[in-house]
Order: sequence, then structure tokens, then C-alpha cells
Amino acid sequence: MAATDEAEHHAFSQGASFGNFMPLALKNALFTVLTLTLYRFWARSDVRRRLWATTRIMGDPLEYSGVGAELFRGFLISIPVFFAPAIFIYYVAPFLMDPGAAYLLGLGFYLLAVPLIATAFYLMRRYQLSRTRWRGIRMSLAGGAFEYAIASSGWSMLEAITLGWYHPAARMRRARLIWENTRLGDEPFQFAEGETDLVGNLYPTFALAWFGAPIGLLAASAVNFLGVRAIVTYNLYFLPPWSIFVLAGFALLFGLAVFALCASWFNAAAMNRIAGLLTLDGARFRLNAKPMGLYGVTLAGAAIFILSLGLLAPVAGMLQVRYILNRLEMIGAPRFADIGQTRAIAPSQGEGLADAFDLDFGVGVI
Amino acid sequence: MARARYVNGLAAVAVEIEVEAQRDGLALQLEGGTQLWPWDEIARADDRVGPVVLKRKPESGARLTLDAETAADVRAAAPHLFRLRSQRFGLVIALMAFAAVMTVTTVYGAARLAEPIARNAPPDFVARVQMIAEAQLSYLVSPCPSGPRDAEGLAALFDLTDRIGEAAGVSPARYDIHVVEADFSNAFATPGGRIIVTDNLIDLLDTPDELAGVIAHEMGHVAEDHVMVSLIKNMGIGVFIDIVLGGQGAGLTLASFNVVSLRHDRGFESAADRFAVRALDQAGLDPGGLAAFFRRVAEMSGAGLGLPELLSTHPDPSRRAEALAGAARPGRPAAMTAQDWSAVKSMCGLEDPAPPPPAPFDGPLSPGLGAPPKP
Repeated sequence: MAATDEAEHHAFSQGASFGNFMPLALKNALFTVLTLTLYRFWARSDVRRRLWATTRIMGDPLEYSGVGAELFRGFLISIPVFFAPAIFIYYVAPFLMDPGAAYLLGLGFYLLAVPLIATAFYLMRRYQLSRTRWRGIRMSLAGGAFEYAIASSGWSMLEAITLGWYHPAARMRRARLIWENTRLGDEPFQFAEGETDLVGNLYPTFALAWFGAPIGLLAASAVNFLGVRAIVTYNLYFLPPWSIFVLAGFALLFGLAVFALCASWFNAAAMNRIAGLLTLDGARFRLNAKPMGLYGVTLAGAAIFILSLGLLAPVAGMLQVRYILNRLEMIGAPRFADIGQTRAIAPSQGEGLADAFDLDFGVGVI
Repeated sequence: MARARYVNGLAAVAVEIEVEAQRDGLALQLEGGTQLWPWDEIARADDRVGPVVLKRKPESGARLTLDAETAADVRAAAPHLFRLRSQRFGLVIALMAFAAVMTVTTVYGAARLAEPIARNAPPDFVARVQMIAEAQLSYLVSPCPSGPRDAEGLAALFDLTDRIGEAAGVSPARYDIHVVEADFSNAFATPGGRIIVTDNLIDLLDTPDELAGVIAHEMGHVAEDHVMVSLIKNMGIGVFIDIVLGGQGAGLTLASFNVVSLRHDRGFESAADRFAVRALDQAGLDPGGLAAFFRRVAEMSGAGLGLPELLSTHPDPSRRAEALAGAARPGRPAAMTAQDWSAVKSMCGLEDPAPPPPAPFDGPLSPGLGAPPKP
């Protein structure tokens, strides 16, 4: 079916740099502050446009056509749909209703948030793809957000029941559901075609990530303990009282850094596997993410995020996107002449719920 | 003729073609013949950081990617396609104005609406707020350990509070008073009218008049519903911030309903001070105790002795002392007898630093001893 040449390797390239990205990020940060964050919708669109435009596949750039007004409209829609009920349940119901009933209502809404977040994620992805073109061909996400939400919530439940050990399987299943519904024009992607084992050998690296949580906690406790002991041993009582919070914050960050280090092998392996299981009309993909490289951009991104109080989060996102896309390649080529324009209807407004749940962590891209 | 990369929007295939910038538009030499893209139907599809990509309106997916040389030709023929993109200053100013109007409306509206809502709140609503407030407080304060003079001290406190309440015309049903053990010095009123005084504050007070001033001040908050008004106002503002920040302000909203750290605005504090002066005066007590207490608090702050944490959330004590300076009525009797003051100072496991000399034995019917505590 596919006319692919296994010898052909087409590397993706991501050319965002501090030079062409930082001025945009700084302008967005300034406008976001000045407008009490309301500019964030336009900022997010601009960041995506820049990241897409600097990504090239076989020499042709991606194109993002979403606009801030669409995201703002989605946000306005989410006010009566999500915020009003949430405000009633969390801030009003406890005073107007029987405490037990109010608690149950709050719990119910909290449980509802799991599929709601999954729905928001799917709709966000659908919106982003609907505004993405390559060689003029629009991408799309078929399938139903509701079906994804139900399946994803079930996997989330399994993750909770197994204390996280189901996570590798859940991650791969979510990836399959998303990618099997993703289209470039009228051509669907295939995921793990003919492959029965989705997870592969991810579990050894996941075990390291899983144990990374208690290891990180221990590391944070150790730093905190050593800090307090130093205060007592060296009579550092002249330090202001808030230094104890600084110490605790530093200990927490250290613990998170240790956890991120432990998790980087799994993250790299999972991303590499997802790319490896993906095909488009017979063309395969290969990602060569390295744990230490991924950890490096994670640490750099975290430092930028913290030092800028979150205002330069898109720069952190850019580092991640650049790292991954510059290590991605397509092996073979689909029959591009047969890939036509999609007939899927594009959503008219952006990801209001995703903004409410901050699903892209302020980065602008998922 | 110049070179360009063309996609027709029908298939994901790019081909190299020749283009020519003409007076009416851009002429594309395609396989099937020449196609003219009129200048007014052409728009930029790139982000101005790489090669120039043009598209034709209405959107069909067709794209034309120009190399530098071709772009220069097109720039000469259609400079409008190369103008700097709008920096959206107009949008930013509009959003700033919108945010400012919404903020002012919310803050002003919350302040205006909070009072009638609080005053007309159904008793069930107030009771639930009180319950939540007490649940929050239970993390910070604990019941006093029982002591031999607790009943005597509590009776004295009830008596003083009732005298102040009666003079101010506040129904006893609206308030009660509790002493609790805490690591900080403060007195505060909860939404249901409960006046709470911490043992550390009692330890800090020097005279019964100071205690009377503190109680009268808190009763002012109760009588004028300051706690409920502040809560409702802060919640309204918190919810607004939460929505504007897209759900990221939930912490602020929850914090706004933190009864323990609740700060009344300066207006409410001044109103409660004025209420206290009036009530103490009408009760025949010396309102100067409140000013004296604020003066001492200000001196402690100035001396770097560090003020008990929660007191520091109140307005500048020296200014409040100054504002109350003329209210003193020297010569009036103390708010409590030495015996009652000693009992209060011994509450909650405290040790009275200067107990009064034992009263002479007047016989079993002495009215000054063994007064039954108020139920």
C-alpha cells in the first residue's frame, strides 16, 4: 500500500532560538501582566505560531492559524459551563446546604473533574490540530472527546488502584487513542499497527521513576534536615524567620530535581516508543530522546520558569519542543500526492476548559 | 521570472514553479497554464521569522513559499505584504481597560453588595459560616486547660462583656466570649458573634481597662457585622480573580475565606474603635484603656520586640492610639475589681504576676466572693 523508501530518512528540524523567541516571550509577559493575564490567549496563539513556523518537515514549515480571539471565546464559554458550577459547589453550597450534602457534591464534582480534564485535553488537541497545516494540508483529530474521556478516566482509575504501576500502559493507550484519530488531511496516522505489546520494555525505566518519588522525598527531607542542623550547630539564629521557608522551598526543589532525574529515563523511553509505533501511510517515525538531554532541558526550563515567576514558561516549552523535534525523523515517505484536504469540520472556538485546567502549564503547546 | 515553492492545497505535494510579480498580482506558471493571484487576495501565512509564505484568500490551502530573491521582487510590487505586523497595542489597551473596569466594578460592587447580603443573611447561613470558621480556628487554638480560678475569671469576663453590650444596645443573644490557648496574642470576632481572646493576649494586657477596650472593639465588629461583610466581600473579589486567572486563582479565593487571617479594612477597624469608645463611655468605663493598649503595642513594635503575629495585621497601633487619645475619661472606676482582674489573669493556666492581697474575711454572706458564674 505504501510507497516508502526505507533508505530515506527525513529529519524534522526545529529552529526556534533565544534570538527569535525571547523577544516574543518578553512582549507576551509584559502584556500579560499589564492586562491582568487576559492577554494570555493572544500570547499563547503567538507562541504556537512561532513554534510551528520554526518547525520544518522535509523543508516545509508547519503553519498555525489559530488566533487569540478563538481562545478568548472558549474561555468566555467556560465561565457559565465550568466556573459557575464550580464556584457554586465550592464556595456557595457549603453555606447553603447540609454539610454532608455539600461535601458529597464537592466530591462528586472533583471526581467529575477527571473525565472533564480528559475531555478538555482532547478538545484542546482537536483545536490545535485543526489550526495546523503542513504544505497547506490541514490536520485534524477525529473521534469523540467523550469516548476518550471515559477510556482515559478508566485508565486513571487503574493507575490509582495500582499506585501508579499501570501508568506506562495508560500512557501508551492514551497515545494510541489520540494518534489513531489524528489525520494529516484525509490520511490517518496508525499507531502500533500489528503490534500487540504496547508497553514493550518500559517497565524497568518506569520502576526507576516510581522509586524516584520516595527517593526525591528522602532527598528533600535530607536537605531540610541538614539545613536545620546547620542553623542549630552554627547558631545561625540571626537569619530572618522566613529563611526557614526558603530552606524548605530549596529542599522541595532539590527533591523534585532528584525525582525528575529518576523519571527522565522513562520519559525518554516512552516518547521514543510512542514515536516508534507511529506510522503514516507506511512511513515510520523515530525519536532519539536521551534521558540526560531531556533532563537538561527540563532543569533549564524549570529554572527559567521559577526565575521568571512563570512569565517565561513558553521559553521552557520551547526548549522541550526544540529538543524533541530535532531528534525526530521520518523514515520513508507517505504517498503525499494521495494525501488530500480533510473534510473534518474545525471547531470554531478554542480550548476554554484546557485554560481552566492549565493543561499546557502556561507553555502554550502540548 | 523567479522561483517559488508551490502547493495547491489539494494534495501534500510541493513543486518548484516560476512566478512573476506583475502590476495586478503574482503570476504563477503552473502545469496547466498561468494563474494570477491578485495582490488584494494575497496574505502572509508565515510568522516573519523564516521564508516568506503567501496564501490566497479565501483559504484553499494553496501556499507559495518564496526564496529571498523572489521575496524582494514581491516586496517591490506589493510592499503592504511586508509591513510590520500589528503589535496589538489597541487590543492591549482595550484589555487593560476591560480588566480595570471589571476590577473596579467587582471591588466596588463587592463592597456595596456585601453589607446588605451580610445583614440579611439567614441564620442557617451564618451558623454554617461559624461552623467552618471554628473548624479553621481549631487548627490554631485549643481549649484552655482547666484551672482553679477559671469559673471566677469567666464570670468576670461575662459580667464585663454584658455591661459593655448592654450599654451599646447589643442583644446578649448576638455574642458570647471565650478564652482559648494559642501561641499568639489576639482577640477576634467570628462570624456568629463569638468573641475569642487568646491567653497570650490576656497575659499581655496590663489593666482591666485595656481588656474592656479590646472586648468593646471586638463587640463593635460583631454589632456591625464586619466579619460577615468582610468575608462576603473578600469571597466576591476572590472569585473574580479566580475566573480572570482561568482557575489559577483558586488558592486566592480559598484564602479569602480564611477566617483566622481575616483582615478587616481600616474603615472597619476605625469603626470598631469608635464603637468601643462609645460603648465604654456609656457603660461608665474609661475608654482610655484601649488607647493605652495601642500605645504599648506601638512601643513594643518600635522597640523591635516583635508584635504577636496576628496583631500585626491590624492598622498601625500608634495612629489608632493617637485617634483615641481624646477619648480617655480619667477618674472613672476600673472595669473590674482587683479580685476579678486577678481571676481573669489566672485563666487558661496563666500565672497572675501580681495577685491582689487576700480579701479580709467578711463572713459567709460576703457579696464579693463566690459570685456564681454566668451560665
